[in-house]
Amino acid sequence: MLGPALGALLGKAIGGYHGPVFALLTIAAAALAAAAATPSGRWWVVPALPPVAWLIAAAAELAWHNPPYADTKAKAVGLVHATTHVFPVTLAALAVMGLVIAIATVRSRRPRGRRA
Amino acid sequence: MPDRRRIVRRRPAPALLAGRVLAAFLGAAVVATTGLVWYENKQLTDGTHTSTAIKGVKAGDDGYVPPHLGNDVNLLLIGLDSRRDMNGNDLPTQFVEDALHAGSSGIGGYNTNVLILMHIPANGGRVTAYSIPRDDYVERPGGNADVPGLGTIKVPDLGMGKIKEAYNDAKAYAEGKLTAAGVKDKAKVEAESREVGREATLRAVQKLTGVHVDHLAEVNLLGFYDVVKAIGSIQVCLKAPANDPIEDGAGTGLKLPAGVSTIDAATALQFVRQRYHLPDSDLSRTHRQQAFLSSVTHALRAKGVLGDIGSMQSLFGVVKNDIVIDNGWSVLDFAQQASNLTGGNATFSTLPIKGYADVPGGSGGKTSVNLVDPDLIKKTVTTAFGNDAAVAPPPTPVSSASAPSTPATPSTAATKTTITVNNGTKTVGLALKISGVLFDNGIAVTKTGNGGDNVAHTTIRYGTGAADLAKQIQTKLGTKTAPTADKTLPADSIVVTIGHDYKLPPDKPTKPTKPTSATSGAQPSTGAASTPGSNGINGGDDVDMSSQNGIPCVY
Repeated sequence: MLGPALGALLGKAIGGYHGPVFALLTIAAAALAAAAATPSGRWWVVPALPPVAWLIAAAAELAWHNPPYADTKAKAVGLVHATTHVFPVTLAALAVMGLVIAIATVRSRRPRGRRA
Repeated sequence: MPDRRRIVRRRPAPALLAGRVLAAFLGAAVVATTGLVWYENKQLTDGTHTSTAIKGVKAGDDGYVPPHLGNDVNLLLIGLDSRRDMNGNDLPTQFVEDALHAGSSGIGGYNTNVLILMHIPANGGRVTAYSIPRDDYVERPGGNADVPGLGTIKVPDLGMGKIKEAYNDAKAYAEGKLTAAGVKDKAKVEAESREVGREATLRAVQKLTGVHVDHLAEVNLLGFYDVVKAIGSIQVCLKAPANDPIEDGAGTGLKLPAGVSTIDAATALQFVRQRYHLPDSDLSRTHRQQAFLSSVTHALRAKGVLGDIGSMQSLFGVVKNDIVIDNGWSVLDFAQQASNLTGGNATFSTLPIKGYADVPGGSGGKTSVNLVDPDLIKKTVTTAFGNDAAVAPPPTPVSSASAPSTPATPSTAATKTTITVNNGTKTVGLALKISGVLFDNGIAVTKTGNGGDNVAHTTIRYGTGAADLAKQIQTKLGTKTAPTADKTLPADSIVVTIGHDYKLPPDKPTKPTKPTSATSGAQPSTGAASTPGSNGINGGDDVDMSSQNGIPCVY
């Protein structure tokens, strides 16, 4: 959760809360979370990413869009924009998570003796 | 023992398993939903031609106006009189001449024959739109243009000229620069030079009106044709019969009766392009364009396209190759902002002019232009656009479900009496205006024509069976001479010949009235207030999108 939130915050500071900073930090945080989690914890970390990333992107869009969205209909359009921006980032983050988990799984299955 | 421990680790508790499944399902659902939204939005925008011209007009450029505060949107609609596609290729000659009735590919150049500046208030108030007459003689400032491959080029000041030619002249300049720099890709030359043309148009419009343009939408002849074709057909309403024969390469060939007509794409193009045989030539044409926009909105609403993203997507899929929108805008934004229009909550006006003059230019050495008062125009536009707080609450929209599918205005096909109005004076367009007066009183004229130059007194003659209607016409026009029976006229026919003694009623706010039952049933007219008079020629009656159920009647 920290990754996308930090990404949106930093992104806003340099001009785009849905821009590359948001994408990079979200992906990096997803990779770290997947690496740090236990095998059991990964069952929760991976599914949590899409809703968390979407919620943060949506909140950022509604809070920081300039000019602010005036009414409900405009806010709905804002959510579509946020969704459009966050989907590729989510996909990339999930792919990276999958990669990290796959590497971790392979490494954990290696015979311990070969590590030395 | 070790085997049992392994088995226990691999079988989580049922609650934990259910939680994992639920979390996985939630995550997958979010991915699927966001993916669907992403895909639909991508479908909507893929292939759309976008322009960076809005940001291309920078602070320091003459014609730059800083963006306004707030959420209001100023939108510039550009109708380009180009017979070329987006890549600079001529449209097929046969298509242009036979389907578009638009003459050869060499005509028109890149003139912006339609310029409509629209203000959409954020508070949901009434949309105000101004047509800028294409021949307005204005300053056309130059500026710096960023052209990929060339860097920044300085477009020179284009001087005083017709506002419609700012696009064409700046585009031609940029095209020359690109060609001289060795750019051979025709599509690239076309795209980049058009951007420079758009920026020149924006500078001229902002310089003239004093307001910042937030978004633009550009459509060419083909795009216009495709839009109407995609919609199917639209209904338009004329106050006077239209007859615009093609003569000496001029004219559109339009022939429509007074009242409501259902027209196809080719006829729609004739409808908005006609400028001859109209009371006020180009000014009347702007009203045609305004009424057309209203009719299109009515048609989209009636068909349920506006507000339905799927329908809008399929419509946009057809037309997106022919239109250009700025890159800071999306179709979704437009759909959301257009909600003000869908309720018919909009008024179209034409910017006033001071008069006409001939200036050097054109193929004949001189060209006719509209003289304008820039200060008056700035004041008019900035006041109207900056007055959202004072706008009245929008009228209750007529829902597509409850509104009749056709307006109350019947066409002249319903009448059995043929009414001809002839102009017996040298006043141009008088017969059309008389037709408008009668139309406003529920009487649709069948035909207009010339009846000589020096008829002193207005006469009304009628054939068998038309005495009552002839008397009504006399009453409506307020003429002194009583109608006379004329056995040379066919039965059920009336001929009105306007003489020098006839005085047109002054412009005044008009309200819709019920048509007289004994007549054609033609519905009265605009339901609009006339533009406040100025120290010149006003732009004519406003076109109110809420009149006639969204199909305003114009000349």
